[in-house]
Amino acid sequence: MNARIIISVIIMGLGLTAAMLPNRKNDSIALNERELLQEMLLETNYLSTDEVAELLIAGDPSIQLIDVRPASEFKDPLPRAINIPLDSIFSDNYAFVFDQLVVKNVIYGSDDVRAAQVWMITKQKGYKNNYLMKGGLNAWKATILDPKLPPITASQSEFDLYSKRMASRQFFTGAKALPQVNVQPIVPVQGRKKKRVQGGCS
Amino acid sequence: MKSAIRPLGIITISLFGFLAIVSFYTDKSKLEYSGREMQEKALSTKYLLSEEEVHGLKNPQIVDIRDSKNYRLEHEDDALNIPLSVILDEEYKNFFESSDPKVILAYDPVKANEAWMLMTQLGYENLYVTNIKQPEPVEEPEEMKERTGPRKVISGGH
Amino acid sequence: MGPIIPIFEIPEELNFLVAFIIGIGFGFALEQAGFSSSRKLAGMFYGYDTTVLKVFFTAAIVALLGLTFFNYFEMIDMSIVYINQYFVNSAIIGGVIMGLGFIIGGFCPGTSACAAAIGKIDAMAYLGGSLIGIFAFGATYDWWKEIYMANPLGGIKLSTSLGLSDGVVVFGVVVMAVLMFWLGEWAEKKFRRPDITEET
Repeated sequence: MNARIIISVIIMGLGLTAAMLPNRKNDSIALNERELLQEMLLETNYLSTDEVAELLIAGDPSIQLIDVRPASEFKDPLPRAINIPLDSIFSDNYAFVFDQLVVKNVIYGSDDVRAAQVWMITKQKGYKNNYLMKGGLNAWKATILDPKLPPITASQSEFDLYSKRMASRQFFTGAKALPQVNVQPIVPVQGRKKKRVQGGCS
Repeated sequence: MKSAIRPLGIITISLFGFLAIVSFYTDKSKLEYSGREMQEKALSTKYLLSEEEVHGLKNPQIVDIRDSKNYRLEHEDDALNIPLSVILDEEYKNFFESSDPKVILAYDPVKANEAWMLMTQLGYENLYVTNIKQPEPVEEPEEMKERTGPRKVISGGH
Repeated sequence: MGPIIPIFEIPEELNFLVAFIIGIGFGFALEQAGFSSSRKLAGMFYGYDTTVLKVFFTAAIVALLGLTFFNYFEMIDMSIVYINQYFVNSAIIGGVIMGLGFIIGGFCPGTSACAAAIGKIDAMAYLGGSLIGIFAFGATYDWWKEIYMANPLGGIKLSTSLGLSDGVVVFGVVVMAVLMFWLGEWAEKKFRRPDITEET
């Protein structure tokens, strides 16, 4: 009898303590600061404007572009981009955009500031499949919509990149194709070969 | 079966004890602010400064977060080099805890903003980011621009 | 932080192996509590033996208090622990069927496996009967599909449906369990059947 009373009292005491505990929401998939730093340094989390252009031209269905400019500034977005400003990333409409394992989200803004903030917040919460387009719309305009002709002394690969960007420009803006840039790389001058002397005294 | 209870009890308690000890010593997170709080902070704090505003700060310390190789090639005067990969190390903890304003140079704006977000989320204050004055892009001289037709390759021989 | 074994990230064979090991532990616990005897199990309904009540309620409150404290001390993340999906109609109908089977056969599905393992013929018959029932359900699934899947409430917790906080529900369950223990003691004295309970 005594043992039963002791056990009952102990269990009721534990139950009362449990009732007083605050409801702690644990976040086991969130990253701590070292893991977050590692993710920041990992280059595969970022996409350049050329890579994004390539994915859009190929019509890759596995990416979703997310524009983080404020709603008032949301003009001329990239094709098929949705607008989620920084202040509504936790709202109910967009609850399943960042925390899912199906599509890859590519975040961009007018420059890198807002995009980096959104990327950091979603990364720290442990959501996967979020990437960042470096440079934002400013870089997009400078590289894809209006690429600069490389100087004459540039290497062949830079000219190839330029041609590719001109082709992307045509895809995205419907601009007429400019005349082909047919620059051939400068080859060092070869000296004249000495001709054998013919005739004359043998 | 009563004699089997004791070893079973010992096994169970040691398993729970193992779990408790392991979870006690794991890498606990030192982040002070949650995701939502960081969202608030990012929206409300104006941490991007122009060059004049940097000069207006009292005793600012300029921080260069590129790796040491790039720093040695060329750096701003009085910029302290803290490569991003070691920014969480013990030796810089006192630096970030000091109350002087610290300004991160944005050679790569993505990394600079991320560094601000990371250090602010850890609870450090008085951090700012400023843009680097890019050197003016060199204007191509006019006569070079017309050379877009096919060029003949100069070759030797006959 | 727990849970130690995330079920979506380990291969399926490992999942089954872990389930097998946990099952061995469960069978051991049932056997050493004496549940392979159908007299003890039926005694729960007639009131002369409340061992079933005590064992299962003890297990429930140990797990309940353990998880609550572990969640508070950040040793497990309760928000990602799986909670069984609750289908209202199926739960009620299944409960009635299982209660009937329990009192007619004197075993429940888990204890029948325990008793069959120690060689009791009636437990093996019970197990065979449950397998026939499962097979028949599977063969005629189309007839029961709407009833089976009706009224899903998802992974709902008692605290959410009652609108109380988790801590209050924990305390309520603990108080109820302790009261049931004392009630069980009183019932054993009142409904005693010495001709059954004194047998070895």
